[in-house]
Amino acid sequence: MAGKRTKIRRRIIRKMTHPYVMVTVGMGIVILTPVIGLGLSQLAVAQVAPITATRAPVAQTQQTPAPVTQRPRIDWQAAAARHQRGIVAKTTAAIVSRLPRPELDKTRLPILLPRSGGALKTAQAKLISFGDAYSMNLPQGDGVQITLSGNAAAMPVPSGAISRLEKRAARIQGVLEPVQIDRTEDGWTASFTRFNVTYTADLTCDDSEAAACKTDGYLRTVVADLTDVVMGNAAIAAARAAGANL
Amino acid sequence: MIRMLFAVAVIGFAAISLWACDSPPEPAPVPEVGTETETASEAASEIAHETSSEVASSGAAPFPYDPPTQLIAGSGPSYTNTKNWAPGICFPLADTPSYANSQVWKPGGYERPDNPSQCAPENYAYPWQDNFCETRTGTNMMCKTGTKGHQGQDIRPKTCKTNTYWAVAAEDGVVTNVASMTVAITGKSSPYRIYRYLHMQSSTLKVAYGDHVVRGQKLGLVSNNLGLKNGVQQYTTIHMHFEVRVAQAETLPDGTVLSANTFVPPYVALVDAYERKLGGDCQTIE
Repeated sequence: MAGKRTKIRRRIIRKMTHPYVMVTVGMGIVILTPVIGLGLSQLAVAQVAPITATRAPVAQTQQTPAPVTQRPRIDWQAAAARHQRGIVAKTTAAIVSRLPRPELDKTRLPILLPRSGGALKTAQAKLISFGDAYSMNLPQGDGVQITLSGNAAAMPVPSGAISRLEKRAARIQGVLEPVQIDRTEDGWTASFTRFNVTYTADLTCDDSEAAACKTDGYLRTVVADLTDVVMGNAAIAAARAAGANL
Repeated sequence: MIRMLFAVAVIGFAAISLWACDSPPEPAPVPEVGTETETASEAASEIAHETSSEVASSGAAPFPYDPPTQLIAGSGPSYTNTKNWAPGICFPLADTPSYANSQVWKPGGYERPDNPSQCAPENYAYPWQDNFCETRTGTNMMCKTGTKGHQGQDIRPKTCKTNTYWAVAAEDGVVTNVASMTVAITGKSSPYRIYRYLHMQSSTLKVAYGDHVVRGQKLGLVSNNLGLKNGVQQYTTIHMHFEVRVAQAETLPDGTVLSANTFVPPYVALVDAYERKLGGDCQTIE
């Protein structure tokens, strides 16, 4: 019995040492080594990933649906009344004559203007229109600039996002609307809503010690002076379409 | 039997070799830019990009960064809104790598008197760190406290060399302000974001007020320009302070619209833009 077992064992060993078997086993090792290695490396990467690359938070954020930009209905009646008042009183003629007519005419929202005789110099006023938004630059000399902008498009935000800030909004004499005033790295900025349009007045000073930028006092004066309105052809057409008497 | 096994092994080896050679590398994840629930026309205009197909066709390469809102411990109130406020923008620096981190709370910053070297290796290394709403003198309604906080994101260029690396336009738009240390670009499409670039070298600016720029176009060299104080040039660390402003509106129950043009956190948009940049998006334009 024992001799038979020994014979079988010898036969198995002989078979195992056959060149074909040796080559086959070798091939198997060659094939399996990279496959196992790849698997282990993937496992290692998966374990290290949270430490070196925190992609998940941003990926999650990107899946959050972005709200559609809204264009609140412009209060054309109120804007048209201001526009007409400036024409009748001839307070806006001087500055309007300096603005490029094509830019003015393609602007589809009321453009706020500083009252004549106010704090702002308008001799070098420049206007850039984007249709539903505009930007007007007013150099004031000595490296001080005012940039007035209007934007009829806005990203809607949840209830409370803006209204909760009302308590920190500035109340400026002669200005009906609450005004958000912030110090920036190079000056001050004020933002408010009029005619359902977002308006911004930015003050920048080349020199941080310029009197205009020491406090928000100068910018408050600028905002208080934004009493006039001009409307180009596109805005007038939109106002008429909305029923304004122009 | 043994011959059969041998033949199977040889065929298997050949098959695996062929598969390994033909199998394409795993595609880099493409950011989900433009997949928001918007109407098609809205999406086309709101993505800060003229050709969204460019975004989709270019790959994205992950890199190490800390999550948005995770500021250096104790550096400020941080914020909660992690929306991508400027999807599809071009990364505002032409060269990679670039390093988003705090220029105040890292070596060389005024909150790090223990290590005065702005060129310390840790400033020029991953991971990126958010620093929107870091404690600063400027006010910022997006911060948790709703009061003071950093209004943008600091980004260091490739190396600690001033006046060497270009800042580029994030979106097609028009230059609407140029001041001693600031260039502002208003995007030409809704929602007409305002991008503000601070601290570029004034003398080498490639743009002027009123210039129309395209996404990726060179604006100026990243520098340490902090403007003037009593007529004397001031300096900060070598970095780009990058801001994004967006008009936001809340409609009250009675129909009244309250809106504000606010600074928004740029970090999420920058991570997305940088991944695309590493994947080949946004070629630099002279």
